[in-house]
Amino acid sequence: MRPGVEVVPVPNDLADLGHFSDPSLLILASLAGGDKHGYAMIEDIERMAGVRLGPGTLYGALARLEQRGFIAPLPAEDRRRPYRITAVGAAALREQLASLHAFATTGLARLAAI
Amino acid sequence: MHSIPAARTWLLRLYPTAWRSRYGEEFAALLDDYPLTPFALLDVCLGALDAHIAPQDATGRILRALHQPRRSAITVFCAYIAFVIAGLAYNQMIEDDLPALDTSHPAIAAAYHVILYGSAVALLAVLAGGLPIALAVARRALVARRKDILLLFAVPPLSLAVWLMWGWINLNVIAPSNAHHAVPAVHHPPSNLLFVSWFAAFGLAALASTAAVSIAVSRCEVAPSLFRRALAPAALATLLMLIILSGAVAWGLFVRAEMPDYLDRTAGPLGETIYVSWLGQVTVMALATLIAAFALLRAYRTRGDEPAAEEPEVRAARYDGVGAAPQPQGRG
Repeated sequence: MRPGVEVVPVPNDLADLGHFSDPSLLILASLAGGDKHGYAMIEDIERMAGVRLGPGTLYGALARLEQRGFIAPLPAEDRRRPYRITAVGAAALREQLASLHAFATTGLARLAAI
Repeated sequence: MHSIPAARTWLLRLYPTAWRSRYGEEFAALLDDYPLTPFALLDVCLGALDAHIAPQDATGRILRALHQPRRSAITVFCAYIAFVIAGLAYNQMIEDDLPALDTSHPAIAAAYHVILYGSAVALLAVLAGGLPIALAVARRALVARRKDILLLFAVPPLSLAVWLMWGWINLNVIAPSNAHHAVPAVHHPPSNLLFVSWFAAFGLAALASTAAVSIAVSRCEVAPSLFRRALAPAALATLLMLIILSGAVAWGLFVRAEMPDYLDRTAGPLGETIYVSWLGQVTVMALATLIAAFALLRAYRTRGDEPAAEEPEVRAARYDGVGAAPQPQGRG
């Protein structure tokens, strides 16, 4: 960036990722459990959420997450490159999960009243 | 799985070069592990399409800022050529009737003059933006002895020669009775086929020339500053395309209001009415203008991401307009 020009912060919101917001949430949740490369993420997400991401979807979301600074690439290990969740990514994940938690809590409370 | 490596290589090639340079190896490793089901194939194809549509997400903000002006300049150039072809078809359609339209219908004549003068200024704007790039690319190709680039630059004159030769054969060998016309006469049914072939040959020549020049410019390493400087003329050309489009739309509306029967006349080479031809031409013009405008928008949106300092070789190239364009960085 130009010196003296303030960097405009990237919106700390996964909804900004549009079609890739759901895969991004899953990837961040997977990386919250430790650094992983692509295929390890796919398997972890399948175990965790019952969703199997395709390779194109995974890397479309990874590229967007990396560009926004939510994840960071680590040195490659035998062609496979692990990724790590960043502090910004962890904050975005925490915000999204808290929102989902509040929604789930409200929904369950209403169900309990039926 | 290593059973069909060729398929994986082919899948990887669907992605843009910049994307492959960043993610290619690790993505190939993932494809080695991932069973290639129909779902996976479709998913990879959609992922490649996404990478082409939103390349900035793959290359990072700085690289996007470096590459976007070049992409935008090429896109505006291609859109302009498509716009010009539609405009030439429009002009060819009505040129025989211009004297009558000019004298008896001032509003129609005014709309046509907007198109005419707008086209001239737009051409100057495209030349102002494009010629320095073309000269720098040609110079770089000569210095670096890039035969592939020089051959690509030979396509426009060769295409023009082939098209002129086809016109000459049409007029002097196949249908000598048309020789008194500047081009095969569109209004005479027997020469419709010749006109279609003549105009199709022109379209093919223009397509080949545009593609060749675009590929040459995208392959050759010239200073990114050249493309950034071309954005202002490109913006002017796009604005003029919008004005010309407005003139063409106004022309049709005025004709419809003042002499509706004229639009029902058969004038197109395929027997279509002037109204249908006009609709097709303004549609192509509108699409070309939209594409150019979006390309410019993307270029201007990335300007804030320009790097603080240029690479040394790029900085050196600023002095002579020729140098190595930054290549996509290694894997981060």
